[in-house]
Amino acid sequence: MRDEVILSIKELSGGYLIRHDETQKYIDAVNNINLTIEENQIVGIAGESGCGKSTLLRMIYGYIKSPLVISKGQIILKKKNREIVDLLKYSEEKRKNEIWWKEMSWIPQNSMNVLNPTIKIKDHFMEILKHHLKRSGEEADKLITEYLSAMGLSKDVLKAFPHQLSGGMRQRIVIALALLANPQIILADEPTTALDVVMQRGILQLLMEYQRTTKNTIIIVTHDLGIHSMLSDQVIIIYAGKIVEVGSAEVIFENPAHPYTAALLESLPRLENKNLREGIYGAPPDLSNPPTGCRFHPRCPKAISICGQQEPYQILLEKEHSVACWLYAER
Amino acid sequence: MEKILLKENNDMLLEIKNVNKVFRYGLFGFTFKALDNINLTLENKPQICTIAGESGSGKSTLAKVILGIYKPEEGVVIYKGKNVYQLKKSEINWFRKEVQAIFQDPYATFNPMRKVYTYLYETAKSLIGLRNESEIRRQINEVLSNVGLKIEEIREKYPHEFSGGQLQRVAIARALLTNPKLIIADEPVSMLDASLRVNILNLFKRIKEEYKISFIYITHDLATAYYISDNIAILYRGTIVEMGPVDEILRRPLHPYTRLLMESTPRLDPRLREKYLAEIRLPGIEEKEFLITGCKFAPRCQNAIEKCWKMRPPEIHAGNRMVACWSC
Repeated sequence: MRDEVILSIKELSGGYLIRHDETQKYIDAVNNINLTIEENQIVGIAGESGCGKSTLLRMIYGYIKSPLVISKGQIILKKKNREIVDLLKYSEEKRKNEIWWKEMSWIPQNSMNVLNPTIKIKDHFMEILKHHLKRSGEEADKLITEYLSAMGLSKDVLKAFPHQLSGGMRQRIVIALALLANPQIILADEPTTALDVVMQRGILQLLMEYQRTTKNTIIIVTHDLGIHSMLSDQVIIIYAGKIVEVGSAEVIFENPAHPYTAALLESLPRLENKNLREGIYGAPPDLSNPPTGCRFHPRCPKAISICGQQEPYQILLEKEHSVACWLYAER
Repeated sequence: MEKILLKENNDMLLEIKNVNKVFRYGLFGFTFKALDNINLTLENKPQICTIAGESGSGKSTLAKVILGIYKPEEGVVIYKGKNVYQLKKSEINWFRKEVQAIFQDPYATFNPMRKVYTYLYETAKSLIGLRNESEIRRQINEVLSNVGLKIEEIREKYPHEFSGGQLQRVAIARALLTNPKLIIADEPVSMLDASLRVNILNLFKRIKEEYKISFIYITHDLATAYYISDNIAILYRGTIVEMGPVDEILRRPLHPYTRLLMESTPRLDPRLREKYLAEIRLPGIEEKEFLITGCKFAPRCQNAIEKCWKMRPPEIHAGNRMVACWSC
């Protein structure tokens, strides 16, 4: 049985509009993204710094603050009550009241530093419970304990101020807060990047276990391909604001189709062997002036003449594996 | 006796002997040992030695102890037979030229208000003592070409006009300018993009081969450590738990901590998921672990026996590798 689609993104484009004196500059961070996301999945979004992966996540959540602008597209969400809505038609007020925390929650980058230093951990939980779930008293206490233990924390942390806890503990608290209202989609932006590998592994295990029990969807953004390989069901590779390849973790890591995916994987040292590795030639483009055609073509070892002229479209290679590359187009 | 000692000195580039470094903090002078009896030697032949550990392991502290920045409370650091903390005035300049450093964040290395070229220029002028302008230019050009840059490309630029990878190359060029014999590189690639990281690592390998320069590569990442190093020391809470040739240590790890680190490093092969997702014990409160008299890894170790908590594990040497463990 196929899992149902709960989020579909259609022709989404947006970026950063920066005004400086008289001039203005537009950074084309997310360009014409089409994506469908099913329930009960761990979806990984991968790409190097500046490729637009965090921007995409922020746009999905609908936290649009200047200079970020959305120029076109739709973000269609199937709500828990099966109602289908376009999030971009919602006002921010409406998103805050109806979507955030309950339908969708967001764990932003460096989020272990988002806790308010002047209030105790317990008050962080109470705030969400009161304002978004309208719960208090014993019921609230029970819920808090349940989510803390799911994250491997004891009740003692409730009495602590954020600074009294280690980075790993704070990160687990932020995750517990994001899960508290049982959202059907959790957007996690580099949730373990600042942590040591052992702590990272522990937290990813807890997240995975949570996902397997609740069967909701986690969209995890990280530059660390190893994490996607260890965790994600579906992997989306982004380069310079464009989706270049989508596939299952097995396909992406064992049989990558896009030259960028292949070159990126080839550049990474591994514990399995000492093969000589080489970085990708050149550097990612300036997104205020992206290259024409395929945005990877100036660095691509396999580029052909059409690559610099025309933008490639998504080509379905096999079930659930697609690539945006002219090499695979029928000519 | 003296003759033997002299011979030893010539064979060794760097000797770190019984080094302890204590930090004090808080009103009541709470202390903890950031480095606890560190012994490490680098033979005088070009090599890359990795010091690997997680945050709080003391790896950056060790780098600063070697560079002569943090004086250890106990123990000695000997570079080419000379105690780094008892250098004569005339030797200090020599030591600064011989041992260079590269740090994690290249943007923090360079002053944002000054052109990066001025750093190269001043290093050439003050540290090497060059006076002739055309000679300065020639030498700067040479080190830049070694890292794949041209003088024209960097001449008029400020740090923010470079990408991270380029700026790290300038930092490496600056380090090469003094013709060093040892470069301490503290997390030099962790802020760079994955696709460019390996270029810097390859550059280290080439510098080692061509210029016979040794590196101490400090990192938390075992995959890059395995890729470039000849030897590796695994640091945990201020102690070296395992040390030796990287092919032996990372192919056949003996210490439970080394094994945990390897199992916790995400692999690029989804078939290895099961092992990665096998449940682990998360680390507890850090300060307590620093105060343990026995093995500092005991609270997290699945093989820990009573002895591990109370007595410091022996350093067991076999061939050219060492492991500090009661149960290995």
